[in-house]
Amino acid sequence: MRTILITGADRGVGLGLTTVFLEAGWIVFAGQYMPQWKELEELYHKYPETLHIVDLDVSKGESVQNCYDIVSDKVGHLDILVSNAGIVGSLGDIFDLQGLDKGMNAFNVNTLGSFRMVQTFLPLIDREVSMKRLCFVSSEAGSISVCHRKDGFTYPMSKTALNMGVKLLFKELRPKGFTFRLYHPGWVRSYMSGKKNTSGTYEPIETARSAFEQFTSDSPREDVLFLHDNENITWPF
Amino acid sequence: MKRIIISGSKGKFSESLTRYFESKGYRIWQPGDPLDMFVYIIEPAGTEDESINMDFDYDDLLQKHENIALDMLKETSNSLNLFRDMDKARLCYVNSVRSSVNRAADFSGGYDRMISAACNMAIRIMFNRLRPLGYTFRVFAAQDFKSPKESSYAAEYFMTDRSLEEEEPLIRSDENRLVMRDMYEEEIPW
Repeated sequence: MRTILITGADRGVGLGLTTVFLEAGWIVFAGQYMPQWKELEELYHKYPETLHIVDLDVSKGESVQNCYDIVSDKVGHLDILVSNAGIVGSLGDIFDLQGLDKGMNAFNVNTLGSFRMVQTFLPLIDREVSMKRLCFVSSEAGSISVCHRKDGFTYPMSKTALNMGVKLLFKELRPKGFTFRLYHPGWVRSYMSGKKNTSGTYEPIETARSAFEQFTSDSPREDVLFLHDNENITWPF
Repeated sequence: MKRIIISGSKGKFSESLTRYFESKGYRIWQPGDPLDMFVYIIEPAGTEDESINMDFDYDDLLQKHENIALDMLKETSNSLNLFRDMDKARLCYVNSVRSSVNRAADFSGGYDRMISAACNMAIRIMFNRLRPLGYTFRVFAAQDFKSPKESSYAAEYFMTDRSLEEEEPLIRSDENRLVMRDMYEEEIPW
């Protein structure tokens, strides 16, 4: 059976991804940050053999290491690592910057969190039997070329930084057989702002099904790093 | 006499840039002065001749993010109300060619380039907000932060106006595009 680890699996796209991978028969390690959200628990009752819920705060090295210890006790390798955990953030308007700590948090979670995961879990992914696939949930918000925003700096900055980091990671690990997916989920009715966004275009499960196709299918151009959205459209950096 | 703020990294680039501007009649802004130009130098340490590896120092990266990316925003924000003439207010940034996400694989340098790239995004958001108010923008892509020649080229780039046709659609004016240019005026993709 194939194995996958998904960060930020409590709700939104992460929960959707967890659901579709379980439906497809994968063993799923679901990183749980907010145990007060009960959806993962409900999913566990349906898939007790293949769903493993693991405490995970990607902003803390110790938590990531604890997660690794638990996962590596249960399986010999991971096929796919999905770095999905993310938070919103804002510094407001340039004339009235507010909450610089939010800038630090967004960078720490959205950007560095992904690299804590890759760095820590690499030994489990760099195995002959593994698909060796690294998937990152990014955003069009990180695309400088087509940026339309006039305020709210921290989230776009963190996603640009993520895109740069994944580019560098691609340069480093693609020659070693790793494949990459950089994914923009579209405008999702997610919970990133704390409550469900009702004005989005897609339900989380919709974008998760699209992501499943992209994450599990091979591409004829694995030597190119694309930023693809949920409709398989390519975005510029 | 024009007044300038040169902020950000305090290395050799800043020193030679300051000297060059002074040779062109600019003076460093003092409290109470009106401001004509704001320059911020983004130079994450360790970006040159450093091979990629995954030896992350997360605390160091967080510190650099605060000291560079967030500081750039704060310093820019503080400067905005100091300009005397909105039609001539100019915000200039020196970043590294290594900040280009598109060309990430073409240059050496470590993962602190994530911060340089994030700065470009911040500049883009500021451009979207401030260009309609009259502020003009320059982003210079340095290859060698120790080169006096590059700093002088950067200064010339910052001082020179670009094409601007007020009555034409926005896309007809170079001044209405945010681009990053190196010392040869070549555009470096974001």
